[in-house]
Amino acid sequence: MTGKLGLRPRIGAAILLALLLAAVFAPLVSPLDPYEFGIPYLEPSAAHLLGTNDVGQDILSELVYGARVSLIIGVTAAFAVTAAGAAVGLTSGYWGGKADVALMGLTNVFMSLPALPLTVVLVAYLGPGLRNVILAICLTAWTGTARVVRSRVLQLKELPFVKIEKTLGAGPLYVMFRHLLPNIGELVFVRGVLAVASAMLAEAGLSFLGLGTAGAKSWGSILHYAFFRGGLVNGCYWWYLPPMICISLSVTGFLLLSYVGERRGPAAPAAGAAKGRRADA
Amino acid sequence: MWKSAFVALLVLASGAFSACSQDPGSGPGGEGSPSAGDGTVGALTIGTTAPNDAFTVFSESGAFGRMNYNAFVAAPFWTMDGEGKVKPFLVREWEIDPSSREITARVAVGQGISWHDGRPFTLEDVLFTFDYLMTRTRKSYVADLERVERLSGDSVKIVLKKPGAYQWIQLAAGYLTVLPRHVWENVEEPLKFSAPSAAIGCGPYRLVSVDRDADISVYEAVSESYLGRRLTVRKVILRTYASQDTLVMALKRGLADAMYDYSNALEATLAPGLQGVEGLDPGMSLNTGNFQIVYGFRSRPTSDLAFRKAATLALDYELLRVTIGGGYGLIPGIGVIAPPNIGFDPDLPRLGRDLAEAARALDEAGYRDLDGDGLREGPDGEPLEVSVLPQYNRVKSAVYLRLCEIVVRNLKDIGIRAALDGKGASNPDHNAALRKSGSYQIFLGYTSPGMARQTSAYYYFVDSSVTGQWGTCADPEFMRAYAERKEAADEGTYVALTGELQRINSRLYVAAPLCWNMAFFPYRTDRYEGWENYPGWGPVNAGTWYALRGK
Repeated sequence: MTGKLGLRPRIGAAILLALLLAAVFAPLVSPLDPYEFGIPYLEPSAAHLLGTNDVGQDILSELVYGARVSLIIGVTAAFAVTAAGAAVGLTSGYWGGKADVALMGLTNVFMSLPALPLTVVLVAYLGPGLRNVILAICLTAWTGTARVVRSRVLQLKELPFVKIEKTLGAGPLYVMFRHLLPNIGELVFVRGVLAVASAMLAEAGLSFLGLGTAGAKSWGSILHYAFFRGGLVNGCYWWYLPPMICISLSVTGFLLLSYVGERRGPAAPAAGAAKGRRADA
Repeated sequence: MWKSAFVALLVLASGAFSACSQDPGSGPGGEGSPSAGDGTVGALTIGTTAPNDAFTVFSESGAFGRMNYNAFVAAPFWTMDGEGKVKPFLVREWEIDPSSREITARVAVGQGISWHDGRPFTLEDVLFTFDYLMTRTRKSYVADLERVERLSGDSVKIVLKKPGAYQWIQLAAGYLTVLPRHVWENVEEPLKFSAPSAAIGCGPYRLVSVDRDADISVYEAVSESYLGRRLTVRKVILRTYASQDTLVMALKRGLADAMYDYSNALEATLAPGLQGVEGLDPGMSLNTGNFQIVYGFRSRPTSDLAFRKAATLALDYELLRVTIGGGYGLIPGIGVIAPPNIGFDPDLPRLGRDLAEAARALDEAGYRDLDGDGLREGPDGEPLEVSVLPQYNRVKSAVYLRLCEIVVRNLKDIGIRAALDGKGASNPDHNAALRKSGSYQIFLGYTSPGMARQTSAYYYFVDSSVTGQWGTCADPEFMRAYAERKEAADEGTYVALTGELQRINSRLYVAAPLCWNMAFFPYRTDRYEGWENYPGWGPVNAGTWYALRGK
């Protein structure tokens, strides 16, 4: 990931940076306390730029604070999912044999589970909340990364530089972490970025169903109340459109950022081009 | 030959086209004109959000079960009118003896009523029903019964374990229905019995078809008249909608004629969309039921009177009024019982927010902020965190979550740390377990219009050892007043003792209503007349089948 970023990743990064700043500095950016009650159903005005909801809370302030929950869940879940998926894929692909059969069997089992219903049921039984939502999202979301990483490792381990390392007596962990992992770094990064977008959408869906982070503001929960407290039926566009735009924008941001790896091309690197201290030895 | 075939094809195509473009008001399935032309109603389409999935007269759940509260397929012994007065149905006359333990009831046998499979309705069915319910179920209607015995060819004596006949009839009216002996006598597990014969009742309508894919069930009148009254509605189509929003849209478009959803009146937030729609009455009435905050007496700090008083005074009733009732709600009184109900006491004060008084009550009871974090510790110096549990209700979940948010925030304003019980809010099993064990601290619940009319909200406040519900208040004075009211022999005594319960509540803060709201059950007026909108219940009720007329 060296060199200048392309236009698409730069736009994505700009969007995400803006959202990140809003989330981090929410108390400064937010015009009002998003939990403070006021006059319900106010249309956008100078006092409330995006109007108020059914209990008079300022919708702009809700959006700013909502970015925190959405981003925390998205990034944390994506990190966990990507780490787990990469570890399983790396181990499975490098070791092969019974380990590969066992890990891929496990992956297939989790892939066959209906992700959304399982997530909904899990959150319903564990109870809403940041930790449980992340856990429920993670449970089935790691499988795609595991499969992709495994395929890549199967290619890489047949390359000369890996074989040389083995011949020279390098242990499996050394080869995996010093040579294979750096060579799948971009792939993992792209999977991770896409996983953030996916996790944010999952959180929005759970919150929309009333199963999100209980009591905390999130974009999905704003949508939940907008739909179930008369926002849609009564034409309160200022209530339901902004969270939809925010969700779309942030997902777009992550998708654009994922183009960061495209520049280097899809083909497997040659031995000399491979990363790692011993690759060009 | 080809020409004839072409003409035939054209006729078929035009027929298909006209079928596709039929007037949406003609009802699902194209049943034709909703009015039969002689003033009767050909096909009345009722919209609900309860699922059309269970068809058994034993169960009260689902669209079918809930419709039977309106003396529909299953016939009740008594019904209730719009004012909450008990009216005869299968029991034509009754008398309560002075001890208030025995009811002599004359039943409508030999009056042309038959089961929907053609067998006659007899006194054996009545005796069987009581025996069956008392021996094989735990239904609350029969929990207080000792025995039921035959007096003559058409009369029975109902004997209660303790005095309380007036209250028992109030509880049973509209809800306790008769079962056909020939169907149920060999059924060991009634809740699991789902054969087609489970839907056999002896009420004025019989089930004729079910379309599970379309979530529709269709019923037709069993005869021209029933118990001497002309059935003006000939056919009823009960259609389930995914949500109240879609039901409102269907009503606006004329795809449904009226809404019936038992205790789930339309959310007040949807009411503005009903105003000014031609041919649609919003069906507004002062609700008999109400949302309420109930304090748990089995755990601290809610077992402490000072805490309950402070919490009640901390609530923002104006915001609650707007949140629950939109622009139509009323700030409630401490007596809880809403104005349309028997026993409403207009002299009891209305609730209001008084943060200073709430803080004073907490200070005096020793709830003080010891560590300077802005939140109070308990009298023992331990950190305090109060859990707020909302009632689990699929239709009302959004408003419950909002109410929790308001309560949590309002309690914070007096330095009480409170939090929503997230698991209880999302998991119905966990929610039920907390309620049934009485281990909640603050429970936000709802007294349904039916229960409000029959036994009042206090049914949910008194200790569960009395009712089998989830109340936890075992205060001796409260328990005594409740027990005496249960034994009331007449309405006057019942009202007096209900008043006493309300006055006790104003001192003990067992519970508090959050709003007296309006109920909205919209119905169309462009095709029918004769609707009677029962307060809190709506235009679809036990009287609809005899009063509605086509225009």
